[in-house]
Amino acid sequence: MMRRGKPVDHVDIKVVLLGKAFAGKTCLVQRYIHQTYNDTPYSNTIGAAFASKKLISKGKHVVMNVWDTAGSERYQSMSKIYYRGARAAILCYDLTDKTSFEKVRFWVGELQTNEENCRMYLCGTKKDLIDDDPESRAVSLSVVQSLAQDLQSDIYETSSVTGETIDEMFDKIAADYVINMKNIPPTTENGADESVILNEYSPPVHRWRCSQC
Amino acid sequence: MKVTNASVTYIATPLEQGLIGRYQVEDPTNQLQSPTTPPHGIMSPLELLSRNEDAARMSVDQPDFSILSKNFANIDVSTPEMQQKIDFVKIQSQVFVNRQKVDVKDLWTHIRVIDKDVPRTDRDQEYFRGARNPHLTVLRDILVTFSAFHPVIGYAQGMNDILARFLVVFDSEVEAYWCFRNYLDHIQEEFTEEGMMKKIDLVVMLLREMDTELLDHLNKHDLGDLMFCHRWLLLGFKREFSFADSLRCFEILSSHHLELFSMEAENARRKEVMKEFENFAYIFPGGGTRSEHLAVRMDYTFELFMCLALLMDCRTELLKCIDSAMVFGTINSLKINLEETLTKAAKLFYKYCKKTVEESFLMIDPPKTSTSKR
Repeated sequence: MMRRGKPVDHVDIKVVLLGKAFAGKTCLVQRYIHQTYNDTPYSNTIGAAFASKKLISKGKHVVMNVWDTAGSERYQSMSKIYYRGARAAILCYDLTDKTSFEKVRFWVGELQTNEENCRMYLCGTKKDLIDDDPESRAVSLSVVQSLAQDLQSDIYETSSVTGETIDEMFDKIAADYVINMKNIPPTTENGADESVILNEYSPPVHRWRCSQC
Repeated sequence: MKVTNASVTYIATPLEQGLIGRYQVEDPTNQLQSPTTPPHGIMSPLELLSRNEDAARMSVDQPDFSILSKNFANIDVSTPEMQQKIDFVKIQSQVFVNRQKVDVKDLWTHIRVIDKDVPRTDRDQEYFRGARNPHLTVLRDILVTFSAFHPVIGYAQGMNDILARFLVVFDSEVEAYWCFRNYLDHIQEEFTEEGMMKKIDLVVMLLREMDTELLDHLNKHDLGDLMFCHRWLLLGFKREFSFADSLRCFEILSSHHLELFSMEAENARRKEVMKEFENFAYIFPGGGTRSEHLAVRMDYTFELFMCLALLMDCRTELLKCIDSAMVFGTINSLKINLEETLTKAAKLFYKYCKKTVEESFLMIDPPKTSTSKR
């Protein structure tokens, strides 16, 4: 889908991060965009934050528009505004906090109901803590795998401290999008003029992949 | 106060019970975690507090007021008059505390979030810097107390930022608590989804009055929700400025100086009243509802004009935006200067008042083509 005033081979991807408060969403975005961890004063996210990054995937110029939402459960339906039209959702859970994975199931339901074209990526955070102390793992890989299998989505266990697996995840998101873009109707986020459906939509089928395999 | 634990073989540690946060006893660079097992049942705050050793310092015969506020440090509590006062306060506090039942499970949920937010509240400020900073404990205690006594609002993210301002300025647990509590009385709606949406809608309405072209452009691309105002409004622009500037901004916003006291606002209100008299006689001879769209809106507070001033700063860029990424990108790259923003916001405020006055004259002497609707 082309937009006015932009290079012809350029695609925008809307990626949204969802997850419980303190799951590590903001740090993940910081790491991905600026390659740093915690070097700016860091605080809880109010509303949502936005950042973008350019990359080349499968020969295409891609702009990743990353929406970092607040984990606060108070403004849950406001999140709809932020994930509307998203093509990829990174569902974050804290590997050391079991309840954060329960929240992932909630977001899965939300997205399945409201955004059928949004592909989900399961993202465990704070992997470095697990590496330091394997006992602190509260979300087992097998539990996540069974959800990933249902969703046919990928699992990434990441660390924003070390940067582990973060670039891989975003690269995969870009690649998936570029490969599948022809199968997906254009986004309707910005009005009817762009909602011409070119092809019949067929759900993309791909296998889940564990990042450790 | 005695708590019987005779039949219990294992007593959870204060940390596990959520009575303290890990950051209070350990180095904050280590992992920060709340207790993992929720306590059960309903307890009175007194019972809850009686399990806390720190709280016990206040229930002995010679209460240590210095832990509450530096202003109490020099009080001589040995005089009969003071003893009487203290006895009265004790009875009063018992009454208050027993009146308020606390759903411990609910409170525990709030404490979990509080313990995630406290160690990341303004840690770049001297006041909150460093491992095991005692001010973090005060911050936490106030938030926990507040959520225990205000179960309907509880704790919401952002309250930590609001409280931090009071605490830094007063450097007193008692004063910060009461200011925070009273301030939240006014703004608690903003911590609900509907309340915040309503507030953001006010910015939209104000933009419609002041710059229809910009709003039309944004609406055309489905960008008219102005969601980026959320943080500005909730925290009074705290995160947009340096801490010192944010304090100044907060003081200005909460004084409502222009809305309440400016000649322009007074003028506009007077014209409004005049217009209403005329309208009743002219349009609704039998009485009727006042026309809403021309009213000087008392809920157009100065912070809304601040939002508008910031939008005007990047107006040219916003007029080029065709999707929400571009809008947020534009907002992100704003270089916000407090002094300039205040000046611009004040100008917009005067402009709005003037416009309203002019419109009320139009209304008093309506153009011949206009049709009045009921």
